[in-house]
Amino acid sequence: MTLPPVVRFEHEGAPVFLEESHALPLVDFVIALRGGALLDPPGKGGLTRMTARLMRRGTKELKSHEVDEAFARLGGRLSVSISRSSVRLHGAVLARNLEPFVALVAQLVREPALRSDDLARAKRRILDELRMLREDDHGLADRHLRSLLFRDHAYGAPVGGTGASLRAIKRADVLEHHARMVRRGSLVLGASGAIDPATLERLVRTHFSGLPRGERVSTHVPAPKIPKGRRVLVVDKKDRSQTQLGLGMLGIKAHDPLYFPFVVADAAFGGTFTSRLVDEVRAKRGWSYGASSQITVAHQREAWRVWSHPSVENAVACTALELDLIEGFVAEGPKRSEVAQTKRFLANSRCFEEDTAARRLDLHMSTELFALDDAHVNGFRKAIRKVTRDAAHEAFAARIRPRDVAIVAVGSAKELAGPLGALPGVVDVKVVRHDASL
Amino acid sequence: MTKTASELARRLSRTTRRKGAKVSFEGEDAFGPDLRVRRWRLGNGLRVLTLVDRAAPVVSFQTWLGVGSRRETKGKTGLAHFCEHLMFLGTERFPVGEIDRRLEEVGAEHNAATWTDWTCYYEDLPSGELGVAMELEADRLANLDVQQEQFESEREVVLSERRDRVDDDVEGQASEVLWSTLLRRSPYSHPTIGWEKDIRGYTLDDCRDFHRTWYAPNNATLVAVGDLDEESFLESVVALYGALAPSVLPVEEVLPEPTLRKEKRIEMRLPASGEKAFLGWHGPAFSDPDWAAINLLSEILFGGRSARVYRELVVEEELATELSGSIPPFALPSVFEVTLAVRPRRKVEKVVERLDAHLERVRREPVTDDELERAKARLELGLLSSLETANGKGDQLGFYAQVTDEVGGAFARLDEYRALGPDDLLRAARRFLDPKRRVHVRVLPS
Repeated sequence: MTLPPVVRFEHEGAPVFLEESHALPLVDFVIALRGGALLDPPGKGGLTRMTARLMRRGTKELKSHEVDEAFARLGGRLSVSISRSSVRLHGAVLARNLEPFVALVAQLVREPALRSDDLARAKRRILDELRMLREDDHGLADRHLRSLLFRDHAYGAPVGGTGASLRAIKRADVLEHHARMVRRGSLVLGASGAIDPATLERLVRTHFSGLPRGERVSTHVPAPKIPKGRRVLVVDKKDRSQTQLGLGMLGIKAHDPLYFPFVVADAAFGGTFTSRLVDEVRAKRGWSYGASSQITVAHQREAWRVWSHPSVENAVACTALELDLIEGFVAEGPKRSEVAQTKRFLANSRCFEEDTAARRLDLHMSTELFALDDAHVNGFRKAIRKVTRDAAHEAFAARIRPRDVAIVAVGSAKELAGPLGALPGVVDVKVVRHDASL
Repeated sequence: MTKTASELARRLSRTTRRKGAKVSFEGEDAFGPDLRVRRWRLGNGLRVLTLVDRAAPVVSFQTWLGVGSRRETKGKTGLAHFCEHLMFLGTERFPVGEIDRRLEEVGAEHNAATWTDWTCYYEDLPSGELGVAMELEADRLANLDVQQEQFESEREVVLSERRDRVDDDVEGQASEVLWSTLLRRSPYSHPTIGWEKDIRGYTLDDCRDFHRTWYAPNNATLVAVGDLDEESFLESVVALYGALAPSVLPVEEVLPEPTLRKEKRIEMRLPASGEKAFLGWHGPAFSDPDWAAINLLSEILFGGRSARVYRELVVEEELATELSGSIPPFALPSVFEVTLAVRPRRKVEKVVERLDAHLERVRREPVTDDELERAKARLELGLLSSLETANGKGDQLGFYAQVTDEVGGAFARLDEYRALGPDDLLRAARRFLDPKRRVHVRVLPS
C-alpha cells in the first residue's frame, strides 16, 4: 500500500503542507511559528506562552467569550502548544465549517486584541496552574529535574515561566513579542483531512497574505554543560505512598550522526515493555507500575531522562538499581538480541506515526521546524535498520555520562535525603519544599 | 454484499466438523457514511466484528470480554483488573515476556484496559501481522498459566498502580469516596482497581477461577478493523478459536439503588493545592434515553470555555480553577459527577452555591437553542476525532457491542443527540439533578 504523497507549496515564503484524506468529514489546520520559549527575553520567562495564549483570547472585533462561542458553534477547537523552539496553534473543525474557522483562526493570529484585562486574567490563570502543580508529583519532579540538570542554561527554564517572570510581563511586552513571532519568515502552515489542494491554496492566499516581512528568528543556544557528579534534589512532600523518581543526563541532539544508534539504544534500555529497565524494575521486582526512558529532541543536547514511581520503601533501592543499570548499559552496551528486537520494533511500528493524515502532517511539520533531513521522515526505517549493536553501544558510551546525573525524588526528605546522599558518586544533596515558589 | 458474506460463512463452516467452530453471518451495518461493519458468530458463542478500511496499512485487533469490576464479589474487588495484568505473563506456549516480545518484534502497539463493564485487549499492527496477535490472544484466552512468583511480583505492580491513580492522587481518593457513598447496592460502588486490602488478599486460585469463568468465547467479542483480508482473518478465527468451549456465565443480580432522601456531606483533608468539591447524583445507564440528554446538558454547562457554568465561574468571575461534569457510559445506572477546584482565598461552599443556582435554573427553564447547537457540534467533533485511527474505530465498535449490543451505536448516538431538544434536557435535569439527592465531598488542603 502506498500512502498519498504530501502536497507542499510555498506562500510568500512560508512552507505549506497538506495531507489529504476524505475518510472523515474533519479537517485539522495547523499554524506553527518558529521560535518558542527560547525567544523569551531575560526576566520575562513565559512571555511566548503568554502571548500565544492571548492570541486565542480575541480579535479587535471579537471578545474572548465570543471567540469561544464561535469555535463551539462551528464544531471547532483551537489548542495552543508551546515548546522551546516553536509555537503551534492546532485547529480541528467539522469540514462543513472549514472556511469560517480558518478565517477566525487567521484573524486571531494576525490581529489579536491582546487586551490588558485578558493579560491580567491569563497571568492569574497561569499562576494558579503553578500552584496546582504542587499536587502533581510527576509534574513537580519534571520541573525540578530540568532545572537541576541544566541550571542557568535556557533548557533549564520552564516554558511557562516562573511566578516572578510572569508578574514582570506587561502588555507592551506582549505586543512587541507578537510582532516578533508572527512574520513571514517564521510561519509554517499545514492542513490534513477533508480538504483538497485548491481549497487550501485559496484559504491560505485569502487569509495569510501580506504578513509583515521578517527573517526567520534565531533560536540558537549554546551547548549546555552540566557539572560533574551525581546531584540529588529531594522535593519534600510528606504522606506520599510512592516517590516520583527522575534521573536526568545530557542526551543527544537531533543532528548528531549518532542520533539513530542512540534512538535504538534508548528504546532497548527503557522504551518498550521488554526493555531492560522495565524488566528489572517492573517485571522482576514489581517496584513500579511505570518505568521508562525518553529522549527530548532539540538543536543542542537536551535531556535524556529515566522515570519510575516506586513505593517510598523501595525508592532508594530503585534509584541505586537504575544508576547501576545505566552504568552497565554504557559500559557493556546492549546485547545483540536487545538491539535486534528493538530495531524490529522501531522500524515496524513506524506505521503508527503515519497512519492518519493528521499524524503524517505532524511529521512533516516537525521535520520542517527542526530542519531535519529526510532520514527523519521517509528514511527512518532504513536509518534504524542500519544500526548495529556496536553503533548503539558507541552512541550511548559517547553521549551518556552515568556519573554526571541529576536525580529528583518527590517524597519525605526525612526518609529520602540521607540514603540518597549515601549512594555512590553523589556529590550534593539539596532539599526543597514542595510548596516553594515556582 | 450480504449474500457473499453468507456464502463465506457457509464455506468456512464446511471446513470444520466442530459445532463450536461453525460460522454464522449475522448481518452488516453502516458505520458512518462510507464504511460497513460485518457481524459474525461462531457456534461456541464467540462474536466477531470486521470492518475493512484501507485508509492506512495498519490493522487493529481487539478482544473485548464482557467482564469488568461490576462482576466482582465482596472481598475480591479489583480481580478483573488484576486478571488483565496476569494475561501479559503468559501461557505454557508463550512463557513470561514472550507475549510482549513477539508483539514488539512485529511493531505492534498493544495494551489492555479494564473498566466496570468490560475488559479489552488490543493490538495495533502493521498490515499482514494480524496472525501474530490472534495466535497469542487465542492461546491466553484459553491457557493462561502464571506461576506463584510472577503472581506476587504482579501484585506489587498493581499496588503501585493503585498508589499512582488513587492513594497519591487527590481526585482519585475523593472520587472513590463519592462513588462508594452514593452507590450502596450497585456493583459500581467499588473502584475498578479494587480496594487495597482485597488486592493484598487474592490467591492465584482466585485469579484462575475468575479467568476460567469469564474468559470464554461466549463472553468475548473479537474486533478487527483496518487493512485486513476478511476471509483469511475469519479462517484464522475458526482455526484458533473454534475449539474453545463456552462457559456457564453466572447470572447477575442487580438490586435497585435506594433513593437518597437528603444530601450526604463528607469532608476530607488531603494534600490538595486548594479547596475542592466533588458532587455526585444517581445517573442514568448508557441505554437510558436520558443518558444522551444528561451528557448534552453536561456539555452545555461544563464543556469548555464557552459552556454556561464554566464560562461564568472559571473564565469570567475566576472563582474556580477547574470545573467539569461527566456521566460515564456504563451499562447500569451510575453517577453523574461534577468536580470543581476553587481559587486561593475562595470558599468552596460559596462556589457550590453558585453552581447550585445554575443547576436549579436548568431544572426550571430550558436551555437555549444556540447552547444546544454548540454542544451538539462539539460532541460531533469529539466523536469524529475519535474515529481517525483503526484503533479508535475498533474501540467504538467493541464498546457499543459490549455495552449496548448495537454495533454501529456510535453514529446512532450522534443521531440521538441531533434529535434532542430543550424539553428533553429539562426533563432529564428534573429527573436526575435534585440537589437534595446527592453526595457532596468537600476536600480541604491538609
